[in-house]
Amino acid sequence: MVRAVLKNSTLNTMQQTAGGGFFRLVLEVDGENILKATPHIGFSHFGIEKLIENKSYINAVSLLNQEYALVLAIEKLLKIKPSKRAAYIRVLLAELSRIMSHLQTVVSIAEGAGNSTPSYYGAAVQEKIMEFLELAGGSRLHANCLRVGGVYNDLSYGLMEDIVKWLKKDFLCFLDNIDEKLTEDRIFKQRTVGIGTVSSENAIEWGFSGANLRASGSLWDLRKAQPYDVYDELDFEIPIGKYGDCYSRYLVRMAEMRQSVNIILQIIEKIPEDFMIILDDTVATDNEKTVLSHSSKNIDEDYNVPAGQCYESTEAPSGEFGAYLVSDGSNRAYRCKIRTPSFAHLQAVPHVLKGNKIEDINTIISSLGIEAGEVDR
Amino acid sequence: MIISEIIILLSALFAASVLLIYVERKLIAAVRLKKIARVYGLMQPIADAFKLFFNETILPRGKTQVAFMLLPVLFFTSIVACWAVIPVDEGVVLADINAGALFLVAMFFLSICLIVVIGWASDSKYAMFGALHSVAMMVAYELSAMLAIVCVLISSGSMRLSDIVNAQAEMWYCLPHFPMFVVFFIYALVRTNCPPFRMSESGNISDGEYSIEYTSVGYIFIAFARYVNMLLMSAVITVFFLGGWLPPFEVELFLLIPSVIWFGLKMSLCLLIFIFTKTAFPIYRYDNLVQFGWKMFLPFSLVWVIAAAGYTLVSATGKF
Repeated sequence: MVRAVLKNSTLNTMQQTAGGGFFRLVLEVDGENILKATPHIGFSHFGIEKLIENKSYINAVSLLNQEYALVLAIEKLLKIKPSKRAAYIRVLLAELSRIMSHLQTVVSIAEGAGNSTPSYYGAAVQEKIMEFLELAGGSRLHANCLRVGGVYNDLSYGLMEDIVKWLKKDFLCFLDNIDEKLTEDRIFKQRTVGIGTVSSENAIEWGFSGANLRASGSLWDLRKAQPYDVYDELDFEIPIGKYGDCYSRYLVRMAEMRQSVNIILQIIEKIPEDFMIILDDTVATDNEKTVLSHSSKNIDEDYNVPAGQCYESTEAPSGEFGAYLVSDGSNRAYRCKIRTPSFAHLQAVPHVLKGNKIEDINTIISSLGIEAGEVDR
Repeated sequence: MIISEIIILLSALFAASVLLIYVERKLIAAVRLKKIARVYGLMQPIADAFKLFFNETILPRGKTQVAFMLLPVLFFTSIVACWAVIPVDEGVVLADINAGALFLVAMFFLSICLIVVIGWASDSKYAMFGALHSVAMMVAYELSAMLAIVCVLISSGSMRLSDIVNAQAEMWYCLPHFPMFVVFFIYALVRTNCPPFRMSESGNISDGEYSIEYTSVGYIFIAFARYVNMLLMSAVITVFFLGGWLPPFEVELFLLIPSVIWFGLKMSLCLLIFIFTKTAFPIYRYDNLVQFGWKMFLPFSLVWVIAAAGYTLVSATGKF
């Protein structure tokens, strides 16, 4: 007699993250329920740490919010500070990028829940922000603005007024629209409330940071906890969630976008009118007291960084983004270690997915804001 | 004679589906602020058809090859066959059989069975998952939808579809049977795969559902079957609940308009709602969806059938 053996099926899936990267997810499923999920990473590994170690400090760049930590670390080693205006411009651009990133996460949560219409509206908004970043730094996705000791250039004339006008008129209207159509949607709530819950203790144990940690109920934001640049001069609130489920993570991100608008509006009022974007005297050579960091001389010669080591972290949209640098006194980093938030969030994926339904995978992974490129570095 | 009628029906369906694909794209693009390709986007369906024809046909390796090749055709046929009994005007129907409603119900079930077989013949876990999902979901709503049809049959006293339409001369059944109309409409959304009552494509596992292994011509058949199905469901709703080809009021002006146009208008209204739900809603999760069907719709439909039957009996005999 042949006896049928029932066993759980194993599915091999390719998980696309919101930003476009991939990782492989091997699932063991019992019908609908996930018994075990194993992420396999490394498909978008490009060795950014090694690239940074093999390039002079000035050429080592990455996306704006990520670059920020590296720039801060180099500045700390050099013991310099940017001018006030440059610092304000940095924060302004960082917050614009934060809005862009949170928007991407929010619409991909909606897409995971089955409604892809918001992502088209989100794309239009992102397009507008990219236009602003392009005007500020010359390139769209990666606002090529941050430099050690300041920014690439002053903002072009009238740009800040345009940003304010757009934020007040169109963007807040867009957020209200999303709130109306999505936040209160019964089906959307059904798909997200109580799904992928991460308790506060677990979140801390798994090394969560950023919006995901705050959604679980911990009050921790590097912009408040260890303010860098001019965050201590700005008045903003830290939204925290209560339940740590997908819906909390969604709400925290929505609230943070409004706070970012708040921050940008304050920056526009407080920003001083000096145009000096100057490196500190320790770096500038004798005949070049006002070295703009994009000058060709600076790139050719580069600068040496005093020996030492430091860790600097910023509140990137997805969490704590840290750069650890060891300098041996040359113009290149001896060792660079980059701490990405998505890597810590990804290690929680097997635990969070366990016991959920396969339809919820997309909602959970996009609500954690995991980016394959960030995980693999 | 019958052959030429069938050819006319098929070509009409083909033309209507192409138009539907075009209109659907246009509307969804309008809702999502997308730009349309050149020449008003007219070349897009043609380009798609071209691309699909020249796709490589990929067949499964197992013993299911023949079934895999035949099933899309059967699936398509099971849906097109329903059109044989749909009357678009007084006497304009391929076969006005006296058990038209029964034939429809049978065909609905047949196409569901074919989905399971497609999932099996695809010889792939993902297709099987998709097929099981789709079928479990459709079956959950199928019974309540059939009960909705039973209500209509009780009220009209006939299974011939043209009789059902003529019985609605005084009042369309969507008014007295409004809850059943809603139930049947949701069933139509399930069958035509429109949100919020559809299978959620969780990105990778069930993307493409049961048709995931199909390429080229096989996929064309399945995709076409879906659009013909959309047309069919809107036509069935029109016949059962919206008074078929009858104008809404017996006004001179309305009577001037040919009744086929009325039928088309009612169908278009249903189709518009189908299309707009595609853009407007998130999707229910599978288990909620099935629970919704079994635990809410089915008991409610049963109660409504008993009530409708009781009312008809009392009003016919005059006794309580």
